[in-house]
Amino acid sequence: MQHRSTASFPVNFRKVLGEQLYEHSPIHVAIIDRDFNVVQANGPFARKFGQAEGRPCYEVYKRRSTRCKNCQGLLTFEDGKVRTSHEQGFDAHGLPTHFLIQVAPLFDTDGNITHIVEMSYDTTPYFDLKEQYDDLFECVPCSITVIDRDLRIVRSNRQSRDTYGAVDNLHCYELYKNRSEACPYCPVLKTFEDGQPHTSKQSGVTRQGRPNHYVVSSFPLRNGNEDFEYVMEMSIDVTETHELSQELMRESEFRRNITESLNDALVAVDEEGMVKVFNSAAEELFGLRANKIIGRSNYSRFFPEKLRLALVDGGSSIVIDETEIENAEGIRIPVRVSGSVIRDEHGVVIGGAASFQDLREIKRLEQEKLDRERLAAVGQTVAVIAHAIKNILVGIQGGMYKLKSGRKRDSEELIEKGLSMLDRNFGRVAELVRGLLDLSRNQLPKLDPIRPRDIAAEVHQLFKDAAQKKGIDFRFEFSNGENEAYLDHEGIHSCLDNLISNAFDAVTEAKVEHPEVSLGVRETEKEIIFETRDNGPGIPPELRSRLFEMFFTTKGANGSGLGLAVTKKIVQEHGGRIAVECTPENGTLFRISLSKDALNRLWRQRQAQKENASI
Amino acid sequence: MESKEAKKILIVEDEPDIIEFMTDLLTDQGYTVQSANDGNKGYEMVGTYKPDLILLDIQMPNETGVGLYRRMYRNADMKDIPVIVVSGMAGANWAISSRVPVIDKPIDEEKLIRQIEKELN
Repeated sequence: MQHRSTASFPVNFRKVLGEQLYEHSPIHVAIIDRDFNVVQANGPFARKFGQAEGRPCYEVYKRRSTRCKNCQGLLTFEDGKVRTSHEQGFDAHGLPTHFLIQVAPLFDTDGNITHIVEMSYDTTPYFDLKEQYDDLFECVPCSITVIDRDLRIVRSNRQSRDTYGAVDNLHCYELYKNRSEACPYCPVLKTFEDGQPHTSKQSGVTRQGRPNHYVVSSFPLRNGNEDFEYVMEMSIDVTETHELSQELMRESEFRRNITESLNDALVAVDEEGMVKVFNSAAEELFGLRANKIIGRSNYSRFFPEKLRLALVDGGSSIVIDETEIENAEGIRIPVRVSGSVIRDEHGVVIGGAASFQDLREIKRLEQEKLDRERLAAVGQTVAVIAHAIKNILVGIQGGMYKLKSGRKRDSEELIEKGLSMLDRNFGRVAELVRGLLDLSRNQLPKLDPIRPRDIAAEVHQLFKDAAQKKGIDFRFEFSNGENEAYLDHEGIHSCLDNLISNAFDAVTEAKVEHPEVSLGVRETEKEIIFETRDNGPGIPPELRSRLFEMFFTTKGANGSGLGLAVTKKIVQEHGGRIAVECTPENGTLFRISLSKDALNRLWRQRQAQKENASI
Repeated sequence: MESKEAKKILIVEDEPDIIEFMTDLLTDQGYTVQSANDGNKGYEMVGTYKPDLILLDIQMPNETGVGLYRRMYRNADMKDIPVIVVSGMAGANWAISSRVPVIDKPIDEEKLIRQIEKELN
């Protein structure tokens, strides 16, 4: 035990430390006697722990009723050594307090330890901070390890333990990547090398063996020194983000593949009208390179006006069955365009897309098919016409035979018969030729605005007398049809003529008891409908499908077999349909349905043609 | 011509003028002629009139010449009656059997008469 020569302590002590230091230092000072009672304490002590003088130190510091188990003061009383320790107690307000305390002996003049002096420093704020730091280290949602120069883990937080199974002394490369040596690009080694923080993206394996992706940052743990022995490594798991972005890339690649493999040209623009998608079919169609167009060119160059307007006005999708685009070489190409306005989930327009179907190949095939069909039809038609003419020729042959016989036998009667036979067959040839001309007439209907009921009324008027003579009840029925429509007056007239004369033949040949024929006209929202009806025996089902064929007739020599074929042709030229319905009870009904849309379209086409022609 | 035995010929043909012409022609040749203007009537008359020869058109309403020929062929009493097809239809040669001669329209009168004589002998 060391003995020191000092004056009686209060005077000496005050002299040594000085009044000022004693009272104003941030150190709490208390003098404690051998009974562990505080005999004196400075102002800061009193402020921290409350009135202490005369009370046992364990009660003052720790609110205990007995001396502490590991009492440092007791040891110092025994051996006279200065001791430092961390303690935890309560302040004057009963709040937990951490303090660093130094215990030193005080000697009397004889060198005996009569008292100890305890100088304590409040470390509560630092302690709180450390706790916070430790909590932070443990609980942050990223993996943190502290790594030494051998790349061994010296400390790890909860997530690194949970995710990777971090344990002290394990090499970081073993932990994160299951490797047996340091990784080729190691941010920790770089940080050891240059003392700078480094960040990189890494892929590894979790303790469950799942591949994962993380962003890792390494920085030196300097502790205020220039030199450092440890690097802290923080990794943030971005597996989910990574997988999402991979998924997004795959998705986008998938879409790109679809877009690229489309046969149709696809051009899509953003809300500014800037081209964003220009697939390879578009490159081919327009004769332009996508990289010269995407992000550089405006939609106005590609989108038809209708779609441009739809984009500006917030319209919906459009389809243009046939229009033309002009490619880079100035060649006009027929295309079918489908355009859509693209909206976000709130319905705001965010762009537009148009697909262009190149119609050239289709048109070529259509033309080829048409040509082939035409050739086949021509062949068939010629055969059928030849047959019809041959039959008539035999009639003429018969007439001439009679004429010759009549002359030979000097029979006026035979000559007359022969002449009338010639005459009749001459008429048949003339009718045949007229019908053929009607059929081959390649001109489009001469449309004029006319009331459908006026045409029907004319036809009714025309057949009224004949009906009366034949005893047919011939009625004219119309409910409407007052509005004008674009019709070929002459064409429709001849259709109705033909149908009515067929109806008359039907009731006459069948010798119907009360023959009835009606001609009707009416108008629906979309169509103009003409109907003829007779109460004849009807047409057998097996013949109905052949009714409109050329040279098909049930009337033998009395029919050219062209009437219904011509009628059908005229109706089709009007963009309409002709249908037949019949039952033995109700007779036969022919219905001509003309679409108003089709008629209006034809009219517009015709007007445009006229304008072009006049230019 | 009167010396010729009056063989019976049935014309099955839908065109009245052609019937009239062939009737004139064959009557002048001394044949007895009757006619039917479609296949069905023709079939009936083959049974009742029992012709020695039939001049048959192909294209007719109700029953064609082809149909009539088939029906006759299945009937033992009728199948041996000689038939000459008289038709202007393209492909008439192939319409019935190759054994059946075909006369085209307009009719080569000499050829028709020769063919009838040949078939009747």
